[in-house]
Amino acid sequence: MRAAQEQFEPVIVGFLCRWCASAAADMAGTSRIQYPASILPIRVNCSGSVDTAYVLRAILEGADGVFIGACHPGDCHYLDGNLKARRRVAMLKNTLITLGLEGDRVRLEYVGASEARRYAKAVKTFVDEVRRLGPNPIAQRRKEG
Amino acid sequence: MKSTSSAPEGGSQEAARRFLAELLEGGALDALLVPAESEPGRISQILASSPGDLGNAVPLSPVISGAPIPTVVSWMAEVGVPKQRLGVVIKPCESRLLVELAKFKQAWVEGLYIIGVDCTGTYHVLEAKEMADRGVSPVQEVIKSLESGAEDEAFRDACRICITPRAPVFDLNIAVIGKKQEGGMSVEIGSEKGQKALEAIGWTAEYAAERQELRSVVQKRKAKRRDYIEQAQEELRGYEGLERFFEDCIGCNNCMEVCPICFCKECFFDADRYEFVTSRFLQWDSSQGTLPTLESKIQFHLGRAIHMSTSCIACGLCEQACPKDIKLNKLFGLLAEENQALFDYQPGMSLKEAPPVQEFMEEELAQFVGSAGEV
Repeated sequence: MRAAQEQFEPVIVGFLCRWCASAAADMAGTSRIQYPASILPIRVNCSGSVDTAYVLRAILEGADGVFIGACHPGDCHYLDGNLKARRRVAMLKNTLITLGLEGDRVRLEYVGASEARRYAKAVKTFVDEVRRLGPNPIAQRRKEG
Repeated sequence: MKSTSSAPEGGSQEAARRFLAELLEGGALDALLVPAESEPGRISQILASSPGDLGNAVPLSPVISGAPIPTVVSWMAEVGVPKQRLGVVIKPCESRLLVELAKFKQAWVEGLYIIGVDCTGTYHVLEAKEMADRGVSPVQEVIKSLESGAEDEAFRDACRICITPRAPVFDLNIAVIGKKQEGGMSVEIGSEKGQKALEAIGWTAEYAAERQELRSVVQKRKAKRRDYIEQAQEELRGYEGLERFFEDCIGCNNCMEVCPICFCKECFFDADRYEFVTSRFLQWDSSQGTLPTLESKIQFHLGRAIHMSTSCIACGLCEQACPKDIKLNKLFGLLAEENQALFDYQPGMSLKEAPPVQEFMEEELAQFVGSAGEV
């Protein structure tokens, strides 16, 4: 049982902005930078297009974490999409915490298009943190249910 | 020159009705959207264009019936802003809804005369009908509460924790709380437009000021509001709490339909991307165990609550519309409180403040962004 605990590979849904985080992820790949393969990247046109309902859906349907990669403030291709994303993530995390759910399973990170190392580090740190949190209790509950 | 109506024998209701009739009679307004009682306990809005239309009007309505007046105004806005001078007789929560809708360009306030009425609470529409069936007039009961400033325990939960007994935004306000001695009501002015309308019918009044009676109503409710929100948080705690809370939901979407702030023409949750419940059944994997229907309900309610929360004024109409009596205002009230605090925003209090979903700062909310890349 303990071995299983140590091997816990979280499922992380990643929403990556095509102008920054997604490019950084590509670069991390071509540069052969190592980072956990737990993240399932979904390329989106802008972090501002990630509705809170999609993030909520991932969490409620059993993802262990949701990672949103956005441009640095001021760098958004659509001027303020990343700022919208930040407000939405703040509202969502605040909502989850208010309801006694785990707000830490949602992570917003700024990753510039050329910041492959930053991307890898951000994913690794988040995966480590989710490992510490353990499997999503909502998914566990359903399995037991 | 009058500042109060002279109809104490008919009470506040009659005084307010006569004041409205004078506004139409004197040509200050062309039409009024106002609640009216068609038969005992049954109340809906009418569009009155002459004093004679106001016979059944109950400006101090005991319920918020069906679509609230701000929603009706937003329907009108779809067709186009009327050229006539239209007045709307609305409760404080409705005034806040109207202001919020105007900010989202779903209603207009320029050219519209907002006539607020003091409010200490309303009954559930079904409760009002039952009262009428028992021979108790909800219209008269609500006046008792208004004139004394005390509340009726049969009022809706949303009303019993409401801390806006007077509309924050209005052109004219029909002040009733604490006005029993003055002929049942007095008029308060909220804007220049309101003042002009009043002058047109030969009335005078003061600009709205603090009122001791209002403050005591608010004071009594603050503690109750805190308790309600704490209790809601306890009840909704964790995924188990949400499951229990929404167990009875039949997915009728009444709460969404009736919500004045939920104004999208096509619902996010009606889109194909949410047509997953059936397929989840078809792909059911016994090792996973699954409760897809309940989970989809939680996605709908929680998703909607997050979409609405910064503009929700906790009017409780969602709860009133629920055929299964789910206490939806607990979820919405709780999330409204918490998410509005995040942006230090109170919806519907002023036309100038932009809603949190319309305004974005370059530097803010740093605590919600990861800093993994920095370390």
